[in-house]
Amino acid sequence: MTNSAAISVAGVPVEDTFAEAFDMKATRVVITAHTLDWARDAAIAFAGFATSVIACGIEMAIECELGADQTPDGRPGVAVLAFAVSGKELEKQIPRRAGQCVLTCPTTSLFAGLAGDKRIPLGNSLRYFGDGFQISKSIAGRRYWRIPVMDGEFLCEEDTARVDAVGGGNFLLLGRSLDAVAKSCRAATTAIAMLPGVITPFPGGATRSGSKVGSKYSGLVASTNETFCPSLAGLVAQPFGDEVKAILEVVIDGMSPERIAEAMRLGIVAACDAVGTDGLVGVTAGNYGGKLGRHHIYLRELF
Amino acid sequence: MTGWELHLIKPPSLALDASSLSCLEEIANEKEANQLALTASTPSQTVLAGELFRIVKRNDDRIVIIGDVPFLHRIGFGWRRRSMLIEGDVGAGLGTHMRGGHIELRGNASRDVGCQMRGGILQVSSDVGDYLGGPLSGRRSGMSGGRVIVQGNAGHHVGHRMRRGTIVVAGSCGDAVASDMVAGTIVVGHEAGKYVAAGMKRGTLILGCPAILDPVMFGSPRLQDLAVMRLLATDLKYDAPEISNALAHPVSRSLGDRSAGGQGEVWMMMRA
Repeated sequence: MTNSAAISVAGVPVEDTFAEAFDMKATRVVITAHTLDWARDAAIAFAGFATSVIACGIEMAIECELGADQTPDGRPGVAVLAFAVSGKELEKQIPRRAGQCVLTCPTTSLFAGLAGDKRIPLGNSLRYFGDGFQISKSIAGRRYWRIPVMDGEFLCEEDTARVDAVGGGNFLLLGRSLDAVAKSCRAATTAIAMLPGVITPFPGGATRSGSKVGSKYSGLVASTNETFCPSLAGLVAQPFGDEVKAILEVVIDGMSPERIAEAMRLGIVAACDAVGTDGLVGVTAGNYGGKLGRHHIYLRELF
Repeated sequence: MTGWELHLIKPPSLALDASSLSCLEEIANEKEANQLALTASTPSQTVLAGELFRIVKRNDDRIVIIGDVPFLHRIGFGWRRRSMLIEGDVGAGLGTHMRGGHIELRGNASRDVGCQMRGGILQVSSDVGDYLGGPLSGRRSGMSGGRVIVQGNAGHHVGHRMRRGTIVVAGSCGDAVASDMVAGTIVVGHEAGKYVAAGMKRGTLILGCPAILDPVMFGSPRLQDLAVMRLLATDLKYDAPEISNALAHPVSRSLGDRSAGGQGEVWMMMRA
């Protein structure tokens, strides 16, 4: 690691650097269904292919599962958070995904998960699937659309709110082995999954393909970050020694910088506790020298 | 904001249009309150509020009318934001053109309650007359927003030409409930009279007791369990608890009025 370790967690040195997070727009929806399985199935499809705004246009994941007493219609459900670089992109992605992944899933209903003035259409777009047989219903000041489908009706709130949020919180786990870093990474993402208001949109909550901006190939906006690829040791300059055999990155989007910071703290502690110094050489964070995002989350300030 | 309390002194000998009392929402001056003119059917005949009522200021911002005033029509006309309490019976047109706020009547009301209402909450503790939430004479549209809750019974033509909003009648209602209804939700806790939902275009009529639907007008009823029932059950939890409980089970649902090209729905609760 290039910078000196400011602190250590379970003996694992944590580099004195910062994660560079940037402003995003976010929304939250609640999917309910006859059983939690159906709600989860819909949510997984809804949040599929949404790991990075770079190529997916949106970053999404299940925030948490909800009991029947926590949902608008008293059925089990799942809350999903979605982040994009603009409100317009959210307006493009959310209705399209809702139409193909929630409307199509048996027994589901779709509700707004946030309150606010700026709105993202849900039923307002999907109602046309009803081909004139759709029914609008205002209940307790909220408007819903009832679209006839083969298992009854698809009930969908007219729209949901979008709010300002933050994306790109991250930390990197430098492992002594693939086994150790995978284990510590899983511990980190499991711990973060307990927190409300944050998601880790990559598969399993982590990514191995840390990227840099641009490429030697024209047209590619991002490419592998060779500086953090242990397999290129000796070929390119790297900020770590031979003992680092594998690196995984946990990327976090959240409703506020504070929530991301809390998720980073919890994740780093869980990762370090899971394998200690036998498994991890250190912990660092990714940034672009402060040029990309205005939210700089310093690792030393987390503890 | 100043609250007012109106104590009836002596009933007048003629019926009066009391829509001017809605100005009490804006008035802070006692003299102005006493000078409000209530007109009779002949506009030249007017009675001042101060001649009918002893008007006193209140410490809160409510408007309270105390006494039976069945000779006063259109109380709460165009009501916008404040809370009004009436302790006693009133005439016709309570809450006509109401836009917001809250009106509570502890007594009975004559016809045309909530006609062409657009918003707010209107509560009646006893019975109301015909055309609850309907259009005023000669108008095309009835109630288009807000919520009316009648704890007692209602007369004929409940929700006639209603466009939006919610009407809850905890008791029974007369003939032609939801006739020519365009949208919105009507809940009747007990019996409904004849010609149920005749000419209904859209909207939802929820009946606590079975009613006879004309088979020419409505499709055969089907037992259905729809997601929206759970939301309505929560919404009706306090205003119609029996209906709310019944919505936990499948309801009998018919669609129509087919003879009018309608896609409205009539739900009937399946009671044990």
